[in-house]
Amino acid sequence: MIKKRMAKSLIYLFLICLALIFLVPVFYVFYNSLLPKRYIGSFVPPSVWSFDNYKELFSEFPIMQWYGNTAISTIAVVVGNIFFTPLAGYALARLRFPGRKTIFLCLMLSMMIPGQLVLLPQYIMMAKAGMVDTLWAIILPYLSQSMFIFMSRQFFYGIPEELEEAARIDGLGRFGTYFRIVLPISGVLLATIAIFNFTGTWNSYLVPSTFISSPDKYVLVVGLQTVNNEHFQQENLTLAGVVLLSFPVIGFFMFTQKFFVQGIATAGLKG
Amino acid sequence: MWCGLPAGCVRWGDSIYKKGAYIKMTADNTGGKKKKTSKMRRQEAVAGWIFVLPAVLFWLIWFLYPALKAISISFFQYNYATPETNTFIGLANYVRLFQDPKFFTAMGHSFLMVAIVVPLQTILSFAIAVLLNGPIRLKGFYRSSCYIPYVISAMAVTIFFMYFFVKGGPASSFFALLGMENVSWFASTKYAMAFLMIVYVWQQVGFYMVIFIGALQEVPMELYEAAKVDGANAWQRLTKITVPMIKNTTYLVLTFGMINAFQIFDQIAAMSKQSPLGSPSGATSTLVTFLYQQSFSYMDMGYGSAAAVVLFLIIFSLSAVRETAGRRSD
Repeated sequence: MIKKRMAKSLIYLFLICLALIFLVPVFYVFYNSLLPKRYIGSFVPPSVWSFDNYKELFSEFPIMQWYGNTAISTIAVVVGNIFFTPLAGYALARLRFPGRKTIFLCLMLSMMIPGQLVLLPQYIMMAKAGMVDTLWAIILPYLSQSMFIFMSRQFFYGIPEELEEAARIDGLGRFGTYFRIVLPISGVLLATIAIFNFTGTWNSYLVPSTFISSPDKYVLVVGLQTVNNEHFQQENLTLAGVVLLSFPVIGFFMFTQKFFVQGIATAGLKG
Repeated sequence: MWCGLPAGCVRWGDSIYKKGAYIKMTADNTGGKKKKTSKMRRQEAVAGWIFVLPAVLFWLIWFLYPALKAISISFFQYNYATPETNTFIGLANYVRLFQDPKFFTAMGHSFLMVAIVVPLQTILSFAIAVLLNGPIRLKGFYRSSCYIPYVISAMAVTIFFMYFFVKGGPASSFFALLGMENVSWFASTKYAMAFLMIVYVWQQVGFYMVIFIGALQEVPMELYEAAKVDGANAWQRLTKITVPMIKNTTYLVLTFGMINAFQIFDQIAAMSKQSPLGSPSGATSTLVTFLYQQSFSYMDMGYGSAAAVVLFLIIFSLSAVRETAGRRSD
């Protein structure tokens, strides 16, 4: 009995340490972003806290513009993926048509190809189309991502077919069945795609830093790197930048977190 | 790299495929479906193609064509800005790669990264998942705190870790107590790789933990009950039931982990600030920073593409090896 209780306390001790390791840096960042430079890293009363660092950032950099660019590109990409990928995944799981196996094989193969391989040719294509340094360059190629087609296919394989058959007997066509019967019961799938795609796109650095060069078209991540490059010595400013970049995704995560585990389990990520 | 999720793997696909086929079969048996007429079959095929058409078009334009183009560029002396000087040089770029000491340094760093980070994050995330799957209070809180780092951008995470590991910063002072030098880790050729690995694992563990939790919840409770009755202790239940039951998930985590660790980039870009990628002086150069620099900084695009093709071949063959090794042990 005593041994059992010991084990239990050890487990809790471990978990608390773990939570501290993950959370303390996050709070440290937020706390220090509220302080003037000379107080960084020390404990000071709330009377010294202020949003001055944020004000300075907003006046020095086009932060609102960066927010706008990030929001536009992220929302466009997420909407595209939510529309196109379940459509394709559904067909691959349910409908029989010539070429289905080939398409699926190509899908699997393309998920093993590192994105860096196609980056340069994509850049050349964008340059030819005059889309380098526009938001189109970071939206267009990513509207339908193989990963999510695959997740959708797994999801539709896992749900029973009876409902759709009933709908078809009632005279609903393929499209009617998909949009009126299948999609409404696929909330978990859509939420999972939205969650992964939102955080991934919002945080992505390699692609926007390659395609976008003028500061007024930056997304936040690239903007943050600029802030860091110019102000690494003033960590209060840079940390405020970190908060500005991160709080929308953390908020989004808090809002949708109940879908995470459920979504991963349903979307077939469990192997 | 853009979707936030790692690229996939074959094992994951076909195990679900079997499961799906099983569900489909039972549905067929109970549904008593009528035989399809050829007209219906044609309608189904047309509908199928309309459904996949947008995705296929995107894939052809933004993936297949660029991938083939990259392979062809790798056989050229290539710069898109000066097309008149592009010349076919056969395998010369590849020959040059294998004589370039910088390429081997970068490849060494990539393999080192994978060899240390992948086992570390897999073991850690598995251990946390097992603990959090037990009878623990405030499960949701612990789970979320582990996952939060994963939703923050790698750029942001690296930047604030740089403040912890700056000379005299909280983390570097702590490690100084353990006998390491109190230096800025990210600017020291000796510690930069270690810094990169710490940042990386700190951020990734939560993601793999969620995948493991998803798998653990699928293991039937009866197995544990039965083992308990037979007198198996907690350790035996873990090694004899849990580990074999979630084997496929472990393979998945290993493959994902490997593919992702090979593609690490944002963290290195943050560490390097305005100096060339892979700073300090190439101590954190990897295959990806190598190919990126060749293509976009030195405009040596044929050479950069050759390095990208090599990266693809490495990832592809390691996935294939992992896949066949997994098959054999089944």
